[in-house]
Amino acid sequence: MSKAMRDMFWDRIHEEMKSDPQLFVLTADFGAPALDRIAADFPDRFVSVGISEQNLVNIAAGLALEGRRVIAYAIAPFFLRCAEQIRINLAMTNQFRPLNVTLAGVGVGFSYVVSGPSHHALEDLSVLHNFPGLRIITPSDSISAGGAAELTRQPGLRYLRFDSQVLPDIYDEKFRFPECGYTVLRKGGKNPVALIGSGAMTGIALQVAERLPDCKMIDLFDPDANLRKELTDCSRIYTMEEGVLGRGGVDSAIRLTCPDKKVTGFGFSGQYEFTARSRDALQSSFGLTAEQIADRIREDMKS
Amino acid sequence: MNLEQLKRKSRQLWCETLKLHGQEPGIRIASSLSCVELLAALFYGGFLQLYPNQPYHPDRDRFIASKGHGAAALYPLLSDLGFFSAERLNEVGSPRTAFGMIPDPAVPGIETVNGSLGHGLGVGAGMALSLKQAHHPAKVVVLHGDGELGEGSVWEAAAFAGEMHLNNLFLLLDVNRKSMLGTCRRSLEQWERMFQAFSWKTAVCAGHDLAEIRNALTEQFSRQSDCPSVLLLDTVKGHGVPELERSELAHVMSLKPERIEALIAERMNADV
Repeated sequence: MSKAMRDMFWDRIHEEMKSDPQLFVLTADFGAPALDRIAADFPDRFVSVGISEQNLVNIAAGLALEGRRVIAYAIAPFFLRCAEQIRINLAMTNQFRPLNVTLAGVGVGFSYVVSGPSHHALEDLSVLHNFPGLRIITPSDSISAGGAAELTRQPGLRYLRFDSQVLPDIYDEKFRFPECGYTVLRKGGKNPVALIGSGAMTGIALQVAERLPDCKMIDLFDPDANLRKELTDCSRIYTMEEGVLGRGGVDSAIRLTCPDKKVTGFGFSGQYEFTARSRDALQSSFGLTAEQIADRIREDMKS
Repeated sequence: MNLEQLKRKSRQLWCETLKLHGQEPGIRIASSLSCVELLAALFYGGFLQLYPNQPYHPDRDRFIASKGHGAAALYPLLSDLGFFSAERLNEVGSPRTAFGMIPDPAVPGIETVNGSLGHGLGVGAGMALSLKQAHHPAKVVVLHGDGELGEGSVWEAAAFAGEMHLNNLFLLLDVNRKSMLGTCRRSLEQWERMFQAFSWKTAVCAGHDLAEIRNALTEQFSRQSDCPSVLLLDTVKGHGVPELERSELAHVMSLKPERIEALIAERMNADV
């Protein structure tokens, strides 16, 4: 599969633009080949608000109050700029009046490798995780990203986080987005070590699983998914994300649902990395390559 | 409604807003008093198509009070128009009520969550965009304060509305010249030029003269235009209460119950 996540997603949306006259697409001056086709075919339901993310969310809210099914598209880390608009005009307003708004951000984790940390979305999950009613979904490959398009039909608020690079396929064309918010990719043996990946780190977690015996491996799309039952028999849990550790991201979510388990998180901590300019170099700077993670886990299991 | 009747309604609104401040001293009374005449003219003057029994009727004109902390006059106004019973006004000041210091959509007739400033114009522009795309004749009217214009999101919305020719979007700007810490640095004239630069049609009127306000609103809403328009009202923060009018810190001032009583009595005894 050579298509990026966002193009798989926009292809699906394009298919629905004709049959659903309420679908309205907004972008903060950010493009995609598939989005160009939407702009060409449905010019009256596609608007670029320009480089103004606060206005992006406000316009989305106004459209949604009018009953539109809104998708608001921007570079992922820049959604932090409009956190208050998300809070007031989406999360709070949604408590009173039904809204259907999907925020779609590209650039999860380190995926904008050459642009530097200003373009890295490391904190967006934990920050936006604080707003009641905003479901946060991080697909792990282009197929799951396309599958996430069906979520835009549901009432409510969601934030879809897309990698900007084309990641290796994990799923096939039979994939349907799981309502439970996760998939079990490896069942593991008896009392297995659990590896929980998110986004690009799911692919890494699969590589880690190949280096360690009999792991249970879970692709976590939704940090609010309740994994408690899945993790009952697991001896230890390792979470992997290109996101801030210990601050409300995937690791924190698992610790909350499984307070009796030992949870070790792999992710971003310390200082921003300004000199690494490839995905591998960035992941390596934070101990996030498959080799580094497998070595850490092996060390950990000795104790 | 003729001018005489409107003046009576406006006076009534002024008194009832003060009364509510007495029930809930947290209500920003100075901010609320600078837009009483505007709200009276707008809502009683037949400028808005409203459906009190169906607050979100699809054909309604949408009104957003973006200066949420100064929108208390909406409570007695919406009650009088039939959105909810007058009894509910007694809830203002109770420890548990939907009728809080800042109106929110739990109150019939309130469209959005405000209190935080600078959001109303953008959300209103989104509504206007939807209505325009659907070729729907309803309009969107947003009430703003001038202090609120400090928020960058306002200008993102203003630029967008100008560029997109959202001629179904109307801004009413309560220019009372004072925010929390005192007099704002920009003048009404400067704000007017800024909106013109953003391709808005502008007009100015005296903010407490009902005849002038009514004429200005008539002009604004009947004008054929291909761009959004703003009416800047030259108002006084705390209008009608001398100690509020002359204080730089009127924003945070509360009035005591005896003072409120005296003010209402004085106003009712004077000419309308």
